[in-house]
Amino acid sequence: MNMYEKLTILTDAAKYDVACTSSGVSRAGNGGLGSAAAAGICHSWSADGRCISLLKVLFTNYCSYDCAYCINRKSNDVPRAAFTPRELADLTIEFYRRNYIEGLFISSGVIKSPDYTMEQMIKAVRILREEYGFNGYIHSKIIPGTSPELIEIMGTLVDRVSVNIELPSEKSLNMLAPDKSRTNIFLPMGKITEQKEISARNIVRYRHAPKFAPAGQSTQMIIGASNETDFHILRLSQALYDKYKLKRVFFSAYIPMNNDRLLPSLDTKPPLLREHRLYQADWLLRFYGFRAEEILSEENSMFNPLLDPKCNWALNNMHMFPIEINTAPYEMLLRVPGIGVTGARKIIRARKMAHLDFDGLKKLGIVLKRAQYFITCKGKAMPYVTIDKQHATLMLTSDSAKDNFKITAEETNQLSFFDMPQLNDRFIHKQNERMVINV
Amino acid sequence: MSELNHTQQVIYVYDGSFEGFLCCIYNYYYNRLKPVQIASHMNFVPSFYDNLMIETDFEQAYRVRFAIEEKIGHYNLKFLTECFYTCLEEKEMYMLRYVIKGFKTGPRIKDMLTDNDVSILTKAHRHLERESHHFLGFVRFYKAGDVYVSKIEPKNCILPLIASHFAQRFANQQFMIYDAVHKQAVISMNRNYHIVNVEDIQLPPVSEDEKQMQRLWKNFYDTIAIKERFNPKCRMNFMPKRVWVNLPEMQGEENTTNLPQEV
Repeated sequence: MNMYEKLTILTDAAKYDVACTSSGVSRAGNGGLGSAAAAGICHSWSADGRCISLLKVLFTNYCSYDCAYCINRKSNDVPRAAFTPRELADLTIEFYRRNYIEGLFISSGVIKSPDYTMEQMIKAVRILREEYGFNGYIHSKIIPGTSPELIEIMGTLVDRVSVNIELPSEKSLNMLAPDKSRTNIFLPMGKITEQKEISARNIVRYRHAPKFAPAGQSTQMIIGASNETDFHILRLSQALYDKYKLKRVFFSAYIPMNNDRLLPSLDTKPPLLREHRLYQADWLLRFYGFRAEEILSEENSMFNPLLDPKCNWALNNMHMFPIEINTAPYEMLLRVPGIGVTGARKIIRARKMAHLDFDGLKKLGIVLKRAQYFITCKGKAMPYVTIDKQHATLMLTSDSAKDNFKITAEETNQLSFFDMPQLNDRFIHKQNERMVINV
Repeated sequence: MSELNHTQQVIYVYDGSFEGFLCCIYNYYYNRLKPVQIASHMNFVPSFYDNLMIETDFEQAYRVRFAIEEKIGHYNLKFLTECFYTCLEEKEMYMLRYVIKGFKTGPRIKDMLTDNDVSILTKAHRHLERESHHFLGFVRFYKAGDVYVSKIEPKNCILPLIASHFAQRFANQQFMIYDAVHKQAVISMNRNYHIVNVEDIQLPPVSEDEKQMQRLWKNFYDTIAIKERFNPKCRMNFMPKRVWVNLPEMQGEENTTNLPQEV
């Protein structure tokens, strides 16, 4: 088998892994090859619109596990291949020297045992780091059930490690991934958190103490293969951020690959809108000071397909609005739909120099499409805008219905799978009609 | 500096260098001639207005630079230096007005985001920064002998901003990045790099071995995309078509918004 075929098989097998970020660690060049930039650098974008930053491959797609949702499960008849550690290291270097990539993302099917697999991956990373002096970014998956000693070694070699929690609940995990268990996943995750804390303490004492996974750890889970609610998923990510100090939780819309009676049928469309809403909410947790319980609740446990989570929250908390742009504190500015971290900071800067009006906001680059229903400038609302829940709901949903028209129509099936109201174009039209009449 | 009484309106013509531009500022204050336009002699078009040829004088340039740093602050000096690399049309006039206002307001000029000149310059600068960051990823080298060669066609003049990143990342390889739009190249060897102006350049051809490597990369690129999530519009937002021409993975890629046949 030549390199071309091998790369095809092992890329194809790795493409469903979500994380391709290269951010979180800043390391200057050391005179050899490679450096890392804190913001991360995307090198290309694939036809599905996802960024390509790292050479994302599996070490091997031979696997002794039989997870129902996975393309590489042992009962599937797919072409199999494996890199040798040297082949993988050489390929990474050649791509890196041409500035195709920011580094390596390495994951693997489980061959023989989790420990054996990790040892092979460590070999490849060792060649890169120790033999070739490669100083670029490396992200490594930790195979569930790996022994702590190997995690320790891998952690000091790479920038980011991640253990996939795969599915949002233990029940689904037992059902769909019988070879993996909750303990096998959370034990390594806890070990990594602990090791990072030890390393942070050591660096204070000894200047050259090895850094353990300086870009932290992340995880990912599949959305739509099992029947957890959005609220459940969001609370789970919140707990992961709080308890395990994760840098990112990634969501991956389930794409049916296998015909299995435990899974949604093969013609199910990937729930892309739901994934998008989860990421929006995830951002609110990480950068906007929201808690999961503010965004959703037990009674209202799924996202509104017509409204983004922040708009939804703002409309339900209309008593806090409108806020005055010239006096509101930073935390409140952040809660206005349409104003983000950059926008809020700009407002704070600019209003020290002059009172802001709506023209001023436009010059700052603030988009008023959504924000206009929640703010006043110098005590006045935008001309022709009334600050009123009903008015705002009407305007915002009819806008977003237009934006999301295609995607919601396409995803009718997926949404009904979760007992969501049937949304087809007739529904949206009707809704719009009704709203127009209300005015 | 007191308000100046400018009576005559002229076009300043300078040599296109940043020092030359600083001399324009010097002339504004000491010659009492208000410019309607500041043009570098490369893109100068004669018109009804009189022109004033501005000689680049390093002594004058130094004095203006010093005054800006003293009175408007180091941040704004750096900001203006970088604004000079942007592709903003009439950037010299915006920058001149920025300096005039800066001398009145002081370092806080950068926060006057509701001011037209400040707002436009800040946006142009942001465009420059974003493009520089994107090109950290979009530069593609090919190996020709011992040297890694790359060609880029950015809108802004980004080489001065990105050169050091590549020089330290590829410290142990010789490389050259050629900016075909601004006729500039950065040449680096052992962490030392120089930015040179090049008029006409013949880049070495891509060898057969190198084509093999590019095919391998394109193969990776094509395989990593998930067909079920096909979204060319999203890709186009991040990676506009004008950069495709210098990316080996995008050769033969069609600008299609339809789903591929097999899906």
